[in-house]
Amino acid sequence: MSEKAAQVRIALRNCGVIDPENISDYIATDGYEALAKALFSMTPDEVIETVKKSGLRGRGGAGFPTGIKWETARKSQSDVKYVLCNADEGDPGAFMDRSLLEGDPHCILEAMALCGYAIGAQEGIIYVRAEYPLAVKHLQLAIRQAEALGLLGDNILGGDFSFHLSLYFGAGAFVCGEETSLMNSVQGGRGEPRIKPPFPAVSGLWNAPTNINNVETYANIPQIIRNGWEWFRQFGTEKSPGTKVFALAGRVNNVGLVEVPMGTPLRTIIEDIGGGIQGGRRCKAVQTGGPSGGCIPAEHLDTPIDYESLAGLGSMMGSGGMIVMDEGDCMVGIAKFYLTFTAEESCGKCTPCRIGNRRLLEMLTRITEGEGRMKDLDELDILGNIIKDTALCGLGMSSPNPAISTLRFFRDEYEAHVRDKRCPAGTCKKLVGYKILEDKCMGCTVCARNCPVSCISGARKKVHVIDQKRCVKCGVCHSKCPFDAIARG
Amino acid sequence: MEKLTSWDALKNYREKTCGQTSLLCVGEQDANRVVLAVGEATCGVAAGAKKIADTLQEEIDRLGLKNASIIATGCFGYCYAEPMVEVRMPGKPSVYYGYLTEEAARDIVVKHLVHGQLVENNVLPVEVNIP
Repeated sequence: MSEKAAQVRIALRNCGVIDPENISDYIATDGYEALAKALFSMTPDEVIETVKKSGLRGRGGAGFPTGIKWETARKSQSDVKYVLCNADEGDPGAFMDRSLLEGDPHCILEAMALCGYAIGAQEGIIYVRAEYPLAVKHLQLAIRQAEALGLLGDNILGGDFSFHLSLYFGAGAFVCGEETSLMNSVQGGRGEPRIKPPFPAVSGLWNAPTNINNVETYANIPQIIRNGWEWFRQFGTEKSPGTKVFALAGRVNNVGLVEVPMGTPLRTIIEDIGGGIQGGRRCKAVQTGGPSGGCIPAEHLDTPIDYESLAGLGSMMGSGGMIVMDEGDCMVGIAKFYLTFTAEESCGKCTPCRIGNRRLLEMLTRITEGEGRMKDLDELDILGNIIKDTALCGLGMSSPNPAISTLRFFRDEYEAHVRDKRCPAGTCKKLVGYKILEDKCMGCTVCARNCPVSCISGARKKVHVIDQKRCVKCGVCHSKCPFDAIARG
Repeated sequence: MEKLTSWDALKNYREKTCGQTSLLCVGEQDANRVVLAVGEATCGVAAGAKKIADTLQEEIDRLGLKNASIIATGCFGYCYAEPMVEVRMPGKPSVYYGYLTEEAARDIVVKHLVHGQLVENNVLPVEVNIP
């Protein structure tokens, strides 16, 4: 364990360290100490004050101050209140919450009990994806173990406070990661959002005041209570204290789960922790925030990671997906990939999201197929911003981000698709063709042997030919040719 | 299990179970224990961690190493190097091995556990600060 290490693990401190199926392991790492400390030496207001002073902000992506959320829920008068955990992780390629729940389930239980004590709730529900069977198994086991030891249930640790936890399984709709949709889903309704206000902290699940936080947000709570807010503030930046977990994926050598202090430059994550780009190629852009975020071009790699900096670049923190792209990735194709996802996942309740995203997707599809018009580029921007301004919930308000941000930073690539009918990265199949250069081909047969649809013919030591009608444009011949004799254009 | 009914009871429980967890305590209880922590979250299992854990166990049984035990942990974040195992010995810094094959797993038991030598090819440089 290095002191100078770029990675600082607060939320993930037990992940991969303890045996998640053994409550004694968690207790051995000072587990449930924060809950005991709060119950026997702090008032609920003091707990909230500590969370407020820590400056912890929602790790689900929007970055709302957690302490203020808790305080609002505490001030709402009601006999019944709820604590909800949003474990409906749905961004393509993101797995922070899954790893946390699988590797350290008790930490979430402890944090939710702390929240219950702080806001005056006696019941909590973890909304977890049914597609995470191991996370579900570990959570169920953890709840049983904690109840058996009197760390959950009635009269926790012999005191007056009681807190009961249960699980609710999500069926995999992306929109259910939006808090009002999630609550509709728990109530047995369709996973559709509603207008806010009222905010969940005032009127949430079954119209009772409800505090809802993301998995990673909760994972920070026990340590803030145990070590104090001053301890937490020594990490990260003034406005974004603490650390953030990222699921690093894409063209880096070391893909995986990383946790860094807020304010760390993107470059440190990609080059130091990620080990640079595969094959020694150049980084072109970094996508953060998944379908709600945007692409940050390589020239902005020294941007420190915090909520405001990323938003300033037209992206967002998001839940923590981070996909690194190199020269072989087409930015229009990336925007189309995410729009395909959000158009599919739109619940259909509000018009801007239901129809607007569909129109955006049609434009992007036209552009990638060489049918785009220059005015599509302006319309993409105008319509994208209209959707952002008018959609009902966070899904629609952020879904045009991938298109708007790539258009902002990679307009030349869009123009190449539209004006020159050319895909610079060579991934848009309708715009790419492969041709064997007669003067370079040595007739080695490597391309013919590797072609998956056997559309390359030619005798040994004779120039080979690609049958353009049968070619599926996979590019295997181009990458395998030892003589650079296959041209892409 | 008996319910804990006070803050002190929680502290006592922590001390009492010290020698039964996968985290080695300083002191006599764990002086001879060796723990092999295999990352068995979804990512590790997908990369073949169960087979590696089985191989480690077979080798430990074959050599009759009674002080060594295998535990399944969650994801350590080094997905690119899965399957991986952390070797914990009392009083020594942990050694992390990655890119494991069944052969490398057997090597780790024989070389590292029995002879105290590193299996160099599979050692991972781990730089993580857990404050």
